[in-house]
Amino acid sequence: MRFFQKKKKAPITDIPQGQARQIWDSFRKNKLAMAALIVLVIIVASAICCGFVFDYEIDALQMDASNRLSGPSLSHWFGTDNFGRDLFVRVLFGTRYSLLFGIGCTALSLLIGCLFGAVAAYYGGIMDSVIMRIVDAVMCIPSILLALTIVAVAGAGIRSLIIAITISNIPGFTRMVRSVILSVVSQDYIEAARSCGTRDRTIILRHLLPNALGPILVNSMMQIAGMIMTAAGLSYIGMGVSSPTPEWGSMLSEGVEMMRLYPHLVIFPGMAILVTALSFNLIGDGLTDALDPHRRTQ
Amino acid sequence: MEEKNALLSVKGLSVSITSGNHSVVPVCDVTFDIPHGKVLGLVGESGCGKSITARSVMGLLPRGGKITSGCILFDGEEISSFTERQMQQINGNRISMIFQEPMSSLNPVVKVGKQVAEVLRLHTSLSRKECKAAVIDIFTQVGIPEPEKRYSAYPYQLSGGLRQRVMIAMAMVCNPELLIADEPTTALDVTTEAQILRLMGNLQREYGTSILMITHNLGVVAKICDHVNVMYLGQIVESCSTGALFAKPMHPYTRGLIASVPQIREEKQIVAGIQGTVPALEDIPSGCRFSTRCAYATERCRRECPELLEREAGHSVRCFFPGEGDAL
Repeated sequence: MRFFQKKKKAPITDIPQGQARQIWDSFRKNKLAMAALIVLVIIVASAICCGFVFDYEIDALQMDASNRLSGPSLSHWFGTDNFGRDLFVRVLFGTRYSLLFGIGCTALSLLIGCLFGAVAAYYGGIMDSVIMRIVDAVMCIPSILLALTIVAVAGAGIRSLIIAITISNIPGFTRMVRSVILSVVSQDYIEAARSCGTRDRTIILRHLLPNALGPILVNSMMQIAGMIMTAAGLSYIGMGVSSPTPEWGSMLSEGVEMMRLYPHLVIFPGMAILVTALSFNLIGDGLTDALDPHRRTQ
Repeated sequence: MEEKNALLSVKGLSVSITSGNHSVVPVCDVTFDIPHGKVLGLVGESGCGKSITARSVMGLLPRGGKITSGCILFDGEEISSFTERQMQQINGNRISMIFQEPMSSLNPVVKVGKQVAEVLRLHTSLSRKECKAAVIDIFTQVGIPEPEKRYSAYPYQLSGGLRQRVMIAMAMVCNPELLIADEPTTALDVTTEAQILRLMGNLQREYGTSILMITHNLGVVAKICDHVNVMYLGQIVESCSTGALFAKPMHPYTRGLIASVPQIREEKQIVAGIQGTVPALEDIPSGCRFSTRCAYATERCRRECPELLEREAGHSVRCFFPGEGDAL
């Protein structure tokens, strides 16, 4: 009933509210997704701000032998690790790495996946076959194995970790983008655009991709969580960022030997991974519902 | 229909569409001319090759489609052999098209004004501001109320009639010489249809645009067309002026089409139809293509295919027995 009353207020000649507004209104009603969004904002804010409050070199890296392995207390919220470094500060700085891997790798593989997927779907024929067969071939290799191989060849480090995760995820993105674009390619407005003499590049960038953006965005949101966990996993087994860099995965692997006596060493980095990945997933879920007009709650 | 004056001249056009390893021929040996400033109707049931004919003129055949023979002359130029790049310069600029479904022919995420402006920016060197002014101007001409406000509306915020007006604005904004209208009023209700047809007629007279009007609605033909081609299964079966089409239809198919239009009379009547449905393109009947559904078909009709012959001045029919069976 409230829905109808709301509609009545606006005169018919008025242009209704924009789509972004409708999506936001619907997203806001999903409490879980909103909570996740708030958590994510806090995480991002702390990743940005931690540098102003703490000194990376002193607080996160400098060892303090007198203060080893102390449990959570007021002076060290998350306790300290084997080398007497404050875990809270390290987890905070670790946020930067995880967000970098999660968002950076997703953005990179999305960019390249969009290019390949859109080209394959729009041109079809031989172009489609060639791109998709390459994708199939790469997909035969489990992505974590592929990433491992790339890191093994390029050497451990932040840059090669990003490259490895990106490359191993490009095929999935290409396939996802292609399937979404295929449903847009057959729309009448694509033919209408072609009948106006629009160039292929413009059709792909202005007509195909924006109309496929919803599902692509939702999928990517979900992928971010996966990428964060892949990065943590690779670091955990020593193929990613190595100690003393405060990466959550490598912090986990440092703490795992002593986890029976000092569980806080794994609980806090583990929770950080869990909370971050979960909030990305929940936001993705909320977006799925908000972007789908049929499921949009009133 | 003197050749010199023809803006568009299609000669012996055949199109084949291949998918997998079987191919069909949806358009077979189609010939017609559109003189400057005239409206040509292309009439027929669904699936008889009207749209494919139009799309081959624009160079927009679906995947697997190919022009196997014939030529398309636009303003004296052979455009069927043009590259994609060359066609992109003509499409939207000198030839433009209006589609059947105004609901799905506009990009839902781009403001309608921007979409029309995009066409202008493609084909002219106008600045952004000039484009916007030109778009608002054409919006006014096609009868869109509050054009400034509609400029920044999204397609879903407009009604079907308004969207079709936007499509017409998009097609007319570069002042094309040829407008191809593919069933422009099929998706609209009758009152909107009348308005849109009136609008197209006015624009056509004002700018001297030639129109290729594709329709299955004989009412539309009567209202706007100068000359009509009736198509059946990829072939033109009758070609004559609009007046002659209604006054003296010669092909049994044309007669069937006209007879199947309900008329307002005092007494009750059963609307006559044409028996059966259009055969699939995979099994085109031998002989006259209409012979399977024609009430007057003879042995000869089933054996050999009649030629499109001029029976009267400007009135060609593809039938061995044109004008027979007046009892219909």
